[in-house]
Amino acid sequence: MSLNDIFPETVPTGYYLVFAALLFCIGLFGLVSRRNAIGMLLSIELMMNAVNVNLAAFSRSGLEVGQIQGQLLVVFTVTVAVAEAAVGLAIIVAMFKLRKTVNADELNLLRG
Amino acid sequence: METLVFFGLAVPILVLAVVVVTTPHILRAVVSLFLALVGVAGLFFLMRAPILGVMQLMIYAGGVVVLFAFAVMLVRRVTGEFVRQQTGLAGPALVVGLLFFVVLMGIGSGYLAGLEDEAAAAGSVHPVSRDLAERLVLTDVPEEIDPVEDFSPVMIRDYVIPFEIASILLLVAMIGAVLVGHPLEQKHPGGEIEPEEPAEEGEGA
Amino acid sequence: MAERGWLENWVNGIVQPLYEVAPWIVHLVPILWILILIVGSVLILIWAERKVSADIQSRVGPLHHGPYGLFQSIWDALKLLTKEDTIPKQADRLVFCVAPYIVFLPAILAYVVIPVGNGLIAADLNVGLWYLVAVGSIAVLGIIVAGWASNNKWSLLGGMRAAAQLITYEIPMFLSVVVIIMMAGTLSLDQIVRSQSGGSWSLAPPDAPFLNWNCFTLPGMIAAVLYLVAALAEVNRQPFDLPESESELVSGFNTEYSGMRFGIFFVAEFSNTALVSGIAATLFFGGWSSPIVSEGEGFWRIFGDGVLWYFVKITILIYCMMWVKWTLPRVRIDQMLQIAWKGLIPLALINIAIAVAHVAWVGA
Repeated sequence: MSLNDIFPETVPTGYYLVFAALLFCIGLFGLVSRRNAIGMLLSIELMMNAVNVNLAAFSRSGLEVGQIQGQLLVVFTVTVAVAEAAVGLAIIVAMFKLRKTVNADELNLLRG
Repeated sequence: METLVFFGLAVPILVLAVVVVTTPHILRAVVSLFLALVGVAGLFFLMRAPILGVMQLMIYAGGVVVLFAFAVMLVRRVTGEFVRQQTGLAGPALVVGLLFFVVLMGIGSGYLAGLEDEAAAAGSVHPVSRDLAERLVLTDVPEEIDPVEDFSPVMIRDYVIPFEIASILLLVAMIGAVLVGHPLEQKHPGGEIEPEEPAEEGEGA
Repeated sequence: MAERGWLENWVNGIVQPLYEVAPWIVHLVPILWILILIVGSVLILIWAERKVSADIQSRVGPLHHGPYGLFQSIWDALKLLTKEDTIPKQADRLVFCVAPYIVFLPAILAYVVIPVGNGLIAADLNVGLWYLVAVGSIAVLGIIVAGWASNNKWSLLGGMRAAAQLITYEIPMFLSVVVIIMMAGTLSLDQIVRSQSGGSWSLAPPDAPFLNWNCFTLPGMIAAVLYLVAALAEVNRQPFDLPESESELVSGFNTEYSGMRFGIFFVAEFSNTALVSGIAATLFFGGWSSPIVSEGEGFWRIFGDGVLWYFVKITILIYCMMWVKWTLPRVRIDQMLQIAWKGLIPLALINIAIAVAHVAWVGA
């Protein structure tokens, strides 16, 4: 039993694109409005996911049937996202140890 | 029927995403992000990309979110409810977000309209672009991709260099995370450091 | 054949018209099946745990409710349901209430791809094994979050320990599973079982089909041991029950839970125990395939391939897990980390090299 037996026709790709655009914009909103560095990273994860949905949707509606390049690209973006999260959180923890804060607007050492 | 399932997943994901970016409790944001990511994994399954769905569950829901929860615990003070979580820029941020959405939609629909005009104007259009436009609105069932038969040969044979680079990137990120997260011993001009017990970093990456 | 007539009446009278009205109802059957599997195994395991522990400690265990105390688990469930459900004042109520369900989620999700009998599988995903590992890794978050939301230092310590332990032991678990993927050449659990139930390439004599099981190859044997040790840690059972150790952390992350919320943690622990034994049986011990006859004649037919053997195998595995639980003392946290990082993970990596040699010379 596969998904194709349960759902004989699929959702148009356009739906996925609109969904991904909405998700990306919510993430963008969070990135701008969050003050806490962990919250900002969370928003970035949302945006990354929106991009992944987009890539997978385009992979599905590719020019050839059974094309997997889009899905492969998602594999690599996920790798980058994981590296980003690990290093980002390590930086936040180190920053907290040094400055006792993780608020982005209090980290103004470089302000002239 | 599948459209129903799509909306049943997409709407909760968007609601959870809004919770992620607005809630003042950072741990609630982490839990909502977790649920949203599980929902996105469901969307991948619906897109007939089970490989991505499984990867999403394992890496994001099982790895990255746990890392976030761990970081939240190490950074104790931020969870206090008295700390202001927002920059007070919610209005401008909303404008930025909405504007970006409008721009994205404009680009998308403009591109589609352009393709359709092109297809209508000349009988002999570029077949690639018309095909793409059709597929964006068409609903045909994509073929299932087998992870062993179809996916891994392409990844290991044709894309072996990106694959290796990705593994090096992960190694560098791991070393970097350990190095950065390690307690610093030398003095730093930025602030006072008292010797602390080393915190274990749960790097599952 | 009165019974047959009754069954036919029932099928023709109720099931058939229902199916005609709503054909999607067949998709509810696997859901029902999974629920029955979970609830049944948990009810039996609660009783079995008490009986086995009593036996090992020379006690008699539950006696009063039903024959041999068999209905003890039902009374336990009733007790949990009628108890007062308290939430600490300073707790993060929303997260506190959601956490038990996150811990319980993987048990339900994982049963979707486990083949219990020949063809008895809710969905034979072509990424089945990978999916299994993936859903197994999401329970961690529930435990961490439960520890945090309780706003209690014991709970928090339990949550931190759970994070360290579960993430650490996922690595040897996945590395031992990789060996099976290499030997079977597929991720579909149904095909992994079939590859162990004898085939044209099989080296085993026809009267001993069990020699085809993965645990009777060198890499498979090492992987089985690695998997079972890691599985003990993944389900927080005794030698590795650091996240909820009663004597030092007052039961860790679930200190503040009571009533049915605690019950859900309890159910999750037992269904996860049944689950990891089921996965081990499927991957290493031939799943539902029979060790003596694959297709018997007459009386022997009931001992052929099928549901019976799956349950026999998980019963033996669960008994072993309980045996270990009531025999060994708890390890210290540094020992726990050492076992994984210095013992299991290097061994698992060497085992992958052995598996490469095995696949190259003996053939998959």
